[in-house]
Amino acid sequence: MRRLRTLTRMALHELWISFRLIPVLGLPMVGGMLISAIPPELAGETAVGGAGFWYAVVAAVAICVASGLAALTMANERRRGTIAWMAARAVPRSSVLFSWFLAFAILLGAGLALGSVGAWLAAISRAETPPDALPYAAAVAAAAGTALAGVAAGLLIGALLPTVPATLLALAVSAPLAAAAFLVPLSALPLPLGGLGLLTHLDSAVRPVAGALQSAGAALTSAAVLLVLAGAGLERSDL
Amino acid sequence: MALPIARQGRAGGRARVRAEVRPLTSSTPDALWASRSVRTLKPAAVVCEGVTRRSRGQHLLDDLTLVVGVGARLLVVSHPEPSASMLLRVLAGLAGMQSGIVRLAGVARPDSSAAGWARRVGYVGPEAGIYPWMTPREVLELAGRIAEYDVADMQRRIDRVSERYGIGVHLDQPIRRGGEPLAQRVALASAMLTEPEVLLLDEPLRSVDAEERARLLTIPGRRRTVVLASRYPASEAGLVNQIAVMRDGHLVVHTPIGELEKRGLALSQRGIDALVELAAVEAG
Repeated sequence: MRRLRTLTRMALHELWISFRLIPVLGLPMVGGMLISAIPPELAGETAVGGAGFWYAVVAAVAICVASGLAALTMANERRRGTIAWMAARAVPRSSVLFSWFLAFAILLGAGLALGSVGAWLAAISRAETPPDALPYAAAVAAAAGTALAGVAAGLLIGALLPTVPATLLALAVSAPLAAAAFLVPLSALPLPLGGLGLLTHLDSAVRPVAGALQSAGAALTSAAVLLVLAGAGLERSDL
Repeated sequence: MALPIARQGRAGGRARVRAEVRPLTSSTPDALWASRSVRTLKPAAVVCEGVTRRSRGQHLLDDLTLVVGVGARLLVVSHPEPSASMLLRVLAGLAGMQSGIVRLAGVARPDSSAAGWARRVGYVGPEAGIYPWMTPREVLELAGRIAEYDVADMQRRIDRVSERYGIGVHLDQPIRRGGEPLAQRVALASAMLTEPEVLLLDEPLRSVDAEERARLLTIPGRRRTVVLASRYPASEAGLVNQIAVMRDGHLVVHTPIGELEKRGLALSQRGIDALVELAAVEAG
């Protein structure tokens, strides 16, 4: 546990030093704050629905960027020998992988949470009656689950491919999936993407809290499966 | 004149010649070293048996068997050049193998126990593998924490290696300020922090000037085994006492370095090629 804490701290420091922390943390945060500048009518929704829709756009972009950066990071760590330095000291490769996942999860989670507060403040300042925060909060939590699955997918790709192909493939995979949340009806969306779908269709969702819980569970399960696959891939790869 | 080294059959039409090192035991506790019989048995620190590794259709290691005795300083030279590097990475557990068995210091594969792999085996690759924003002290403390030393012991070890590897004045500055030479010194110092029984050096310290490199690579410890992969054998003169030559993934020569001198050959690529040819001729 102490080792994982040390590795995660190093991963966070590396993200900070390499400026990768800025998009992962800053993009959802600043995007959420800026939603007050976008009229909800542009999305054709109510105040809460509009805030949800525009925040879903921000979250989708953040997820794609985080997924690409996760792939870039993992491939880069393999290339420059930092994982080899750890592995030569019998630090399990899966520990290194999980520490990177935690670092991305902490930043992206914090960014999405802070950004969602900004979007919510924009919604309640426009709403005529005090809106119910629970469906919105549940949808944001489910979208955070989707984000974790995106990061895990990026790490999996980065564990297998060189830097540039890994980054491009992660973006190529995550972008259409994120776009599906806006283009496909909520009922037809794969469960792990349900968080983004719920934020997009917050006004029309029938049982948003139950749907968000289901979606979050599916997204976290997907993240776990992808991490296990990434661990196996990293274990088999040459360092 | 016959080579005063053991011949052990052929591999791929080439003679395979090895030093007399018996694969009897491996990591040996201090108390046992007092025993005359253990010293006589010449225990092995590195054992590879039938190791095969292909990469992009090329056999980098082909049914390779190599035994390195405790205390040896072995230079590994290969054609194609990536074979030697691959051998060290396989030994360090950084690259997989298609078949074969590897044991280092009595350990078959990296384990996470405090007194296990992390303390007994050291590896330094061509890339330092260290974040340039870290200070040498942070790197050494991290290496010490991974090996689970207590604070006092860790500090004593950091003081010792930072003095030996000339990083004392840079100890609290980011490594990026000292550039690649400092990064490579720190990588070697962090590997030596645990005083490993087996040290694997894959083209180490290439950014350090030749004289300083020779000083740093004069690894102390009579019972410490060093395996050094190099593309420039001439630069390793004085640092090694055995040489292993690989051709197309096979071990063709493993002999004391004195064998080159006896035949008037230099420790250079040309001298090694001549030794391989002589060994092949003498093997019939």
